[in-house]
This record gives sequence, structure tokens and C-alpha cells, in this order.
Amino acid sequence: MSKATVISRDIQGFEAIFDAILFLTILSIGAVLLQTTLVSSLQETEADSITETSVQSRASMEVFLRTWVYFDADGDGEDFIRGDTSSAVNEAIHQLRTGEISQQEFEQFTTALNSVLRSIVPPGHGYRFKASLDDSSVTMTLGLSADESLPTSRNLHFANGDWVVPALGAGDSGITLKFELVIWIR
Amino acid sequence: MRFLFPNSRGKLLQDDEAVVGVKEDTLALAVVLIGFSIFVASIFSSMLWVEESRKTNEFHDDAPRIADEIVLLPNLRAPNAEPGILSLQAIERMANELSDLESEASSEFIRDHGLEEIGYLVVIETIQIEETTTGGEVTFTAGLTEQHTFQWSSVNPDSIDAELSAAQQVLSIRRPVNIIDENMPERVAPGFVQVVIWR
Repeated sequence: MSKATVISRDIQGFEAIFDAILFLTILSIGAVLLQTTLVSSLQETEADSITETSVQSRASMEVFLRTWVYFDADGDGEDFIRGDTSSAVNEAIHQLRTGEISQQEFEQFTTALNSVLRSIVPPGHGYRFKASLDDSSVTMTLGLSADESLPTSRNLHFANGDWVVPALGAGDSGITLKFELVIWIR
Repeated sequence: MRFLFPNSRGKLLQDDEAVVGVKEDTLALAVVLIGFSIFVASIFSSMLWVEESRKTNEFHDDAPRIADEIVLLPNLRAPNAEPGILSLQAIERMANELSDLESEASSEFIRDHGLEEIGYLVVIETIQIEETTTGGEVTFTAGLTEQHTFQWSSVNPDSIDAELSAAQQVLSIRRPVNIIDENMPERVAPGFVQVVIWR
């Protein structure tokens, strides 16, 4: 009696099944590649989101520095600071350095400016603004205080600007006022 | 089949190699069909997902795009000012024109900003901050002497809440801007353009 033919012993037939499985494997690899492409497009969306926050940071900085402010510590109409925020911050730091305004008045001005910046930065964002003269240790900090560390678990977006102020009388080169605004989504 | 070919069944079944060949072919065909079906289904569902993601992404991009376009509109720019500094009077004019939903200006706004298929609400507001002493003397002020708010939308203002409640997706973005009152141009005020869109 001849031995029965079964699939496991039929090499040619087994090759046909092997070809089918190979075909299936190629399709699976194609599907994986397709999914990889789709995940890449999601990463682009994430990049767009980061770009959007950076735009907010730059726009907030520009709007804040252009805003017109008036500050008079005791409200008597004398010894006031007036102008766009960048000039006013520069003036306040300079006056504190020369003793024309007291530390308390400087802090009063800082608190008032903070309320302006808080209303400019979009809701849901944390922020820290720093302004400093390069030749002095006087720094104005708004938002998150300088003692607290920035939230490293968030994407931080910086906007920086240097402003040379010749009027402060430090020679032709002037003095550089440095601004830095950091914002992050809470 | 047996009726048409009465002797064929027996002969086929007696041929072991033929039976095994048929089994093998059937098995291979089943593997190919199942594999191919899964692949087609996977492609199809991926395409649907991509299309839905694309629509969602486009929608996500719409709010910042529209806000940026409004901020840079030449007819809103304050005279002799940089782009992004808006004129209070120009904003007021535009808000009045666009408050009439049937007007040509409204149609043009929708066409120019690609808002045909989505609902929108645009709010432009100045921020005004003032601090006084207990005696009433002003110690700090920023911006204009009073706060101004302008808005226009794709629907009647009374039905915005209902539209937002019924919407599948709602997005909002706020762009800070400077706004100038042409009657006191030195007082550059902070403000914002808020765009809310829904579909």
C-alpha cells in the first residue's frame, strides 16, 4: 500500500503556502510603513503647536514693550515716569540705581507693570519677564519670581531683546538693556 | 455536480495528490485572501483616519491663521504704524460693517479668510489698567482712558451660545496686539484679537 500524500510531505504544495505567507509578510511590512508615515504627520502637528506658543511669546513681548504707561508713585503729578514700557522700565531701573526712586516705589511700579503683562499674556500660560541693565545688578522681574525655577516639565518659549540706550550717558556705546520673556502652557 | 458528472467525484477523491493539491491551493488562497483583506481594511481605515486627522489639523490651524490675518489686515492698521498696531477707529468701522451678516463686507470677509464651512466669532478688545491712591489720584495707568470691545460673528450674537453648545469642535485663540486711538496716538494700548471658531 502506497504511502498517503499529505501537505507536510508535499514540498511543491508547501512552497505555495510559503509564498502566500511571504506575500502576507510583505503586506504587513507595507502596513507598518504606512502607519509610520501617519505617525510622522502627527509629529508635524506637535511641531506646529510648539511654533504657535513661540509666536505667542514674541507677540506678547512686543505688545508689552510698546504699551504706553504712566507711573507716579504718590499721585501728585511730579516725578513721574511716562512712555512706552521699554523706556519706562529703563528709566525706572536707572532712577533706582541713582536713588531718585526708592526700592518701595520701584516695587510698586513693578507690581503695576505685572498687572499689564498678566493681561497681555494669553490665559492658561505662565510667564516670567526679566529686564536688566548690563552694567548693574538691578533687575526687574515680573511673573514667576527670580527665586523660583522655571517649570522644566513644560515647553519653554523665550523671546529676547537687547536695547542699547545711549541716553544713559555711558559713552558712545550706550548701555544695553536686556529683556527676556519666557512663557509656557500651564 | 454528481448529476452532471456521475463518475468524476470518485476519481477525484481517489487521486490523493489531486486532493492534497486542492487543499494546498485552498489553504494558500485563504491565506492570501485573509491577508489581503486585512491589508485593504487597514489601508482603508488608515485613509479614513488620515482624512479625519487632516480635517482636524486644518481646523486647528484655522484659528491662529485667521487671528494672524486679522492682526495684519491693512485696513485695520493704524496710520504710519508698524504692522500689528491697529487703529481703534478702523476696528470700530469694520465691526459696524461686519455686524450686518447679509452685507457684501461680511461675504467678502468670509471669502477672504476661508470661513465658508465654519462658524466664527471675532472679539477685539483694548486692555485698560489704572491704579489710584485712596484719595483718587492716579498712580499708574496703561493703555487708553477707557476699555473698548468690538465683535462680529457668523451668526446673530444672541444665538452664539446655542451654536457653541451644538458644535462638534470649538477652538479659540488670543493674539496680543497694540491698539491706537487716533485722537491720542502716543497712548499705545495693549489689547487682543480673540478668534473663536466652531464646526
